[in-house]
Amino acid sequence: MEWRWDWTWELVPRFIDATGKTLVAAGGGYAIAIVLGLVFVLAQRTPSRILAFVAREFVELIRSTPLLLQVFFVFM
Amino acid sequence: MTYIEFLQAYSSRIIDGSLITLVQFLFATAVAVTTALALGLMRLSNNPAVKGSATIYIEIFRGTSLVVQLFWVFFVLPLFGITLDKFIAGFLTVGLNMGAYGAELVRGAIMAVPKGQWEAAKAINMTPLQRMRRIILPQAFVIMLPPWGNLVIEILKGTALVSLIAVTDLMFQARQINISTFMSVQTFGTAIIIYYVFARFMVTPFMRYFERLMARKIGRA
Repeated sequence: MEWRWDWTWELVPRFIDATGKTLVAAGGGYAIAIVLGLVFVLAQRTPSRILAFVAREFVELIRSTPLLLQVFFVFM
Repeated sequence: MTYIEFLQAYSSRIIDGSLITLVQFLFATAVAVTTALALGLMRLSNNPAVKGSATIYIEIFRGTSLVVQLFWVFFVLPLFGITLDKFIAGFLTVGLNMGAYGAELVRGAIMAVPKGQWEAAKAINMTPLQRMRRIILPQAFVIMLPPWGNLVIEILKGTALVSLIAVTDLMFQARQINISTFMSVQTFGTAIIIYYVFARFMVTPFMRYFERLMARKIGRA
């Protein structure tokens, strides 16, 4: 296969578009992560043993399974 | 279809996929450990060329996404004449990527070995190679094992991405089963549980055991 510059230039707008979406997804991800991170930490530090245990185990479950699988589980 | 029937019908494929994931994980870990050790030592070199090339490698592999790297190795390298089987491309890329993270752990652990140990080794006339091999690395090894426990879980999770280049691992089988049954909660739920059991009740306990074993070997239990 040869490198074709005309085709490359045709693709550039789509890449710019997609980069925008990546940035939005990353920004949204950060925002949600900060809020949920605080929620889970607070849940683990409450006097309620049960709530702390559930929060801890949930965090462990999320941390030790692949993100790709979680995405499929939630959205399929 | 109940969950029991579902398991009866698809358990053999799920088990096949789990075994492929296990093999991918073991090979990727071997590649990652080797890469990390080599690059971590290169980062500590006084030679700017050696140090610089390790830094560039680490920055490239840590700074770009693992999926993109997988696609590069599997779809782009053949255009340059390097064709790898998808299975090899899978664990190799995951290993090379995670090795870049591991290199920083190796470097940090070596630098965390107390100064006195370096000086004492020098004082008894050890060559730099002897000092590294017999004094510094064994102690660095004990220091770096706990963070490696985390990284090993990351490697296990990273191998789920090899399903995107059609390696028939657990993630791939789960997607295939979901396409034919539409029982997404059951298929992906089962896969999540398998990954979780694997990480939490097999990999983590093994790493903990390994940490204790190594600490005992250098008399720090």
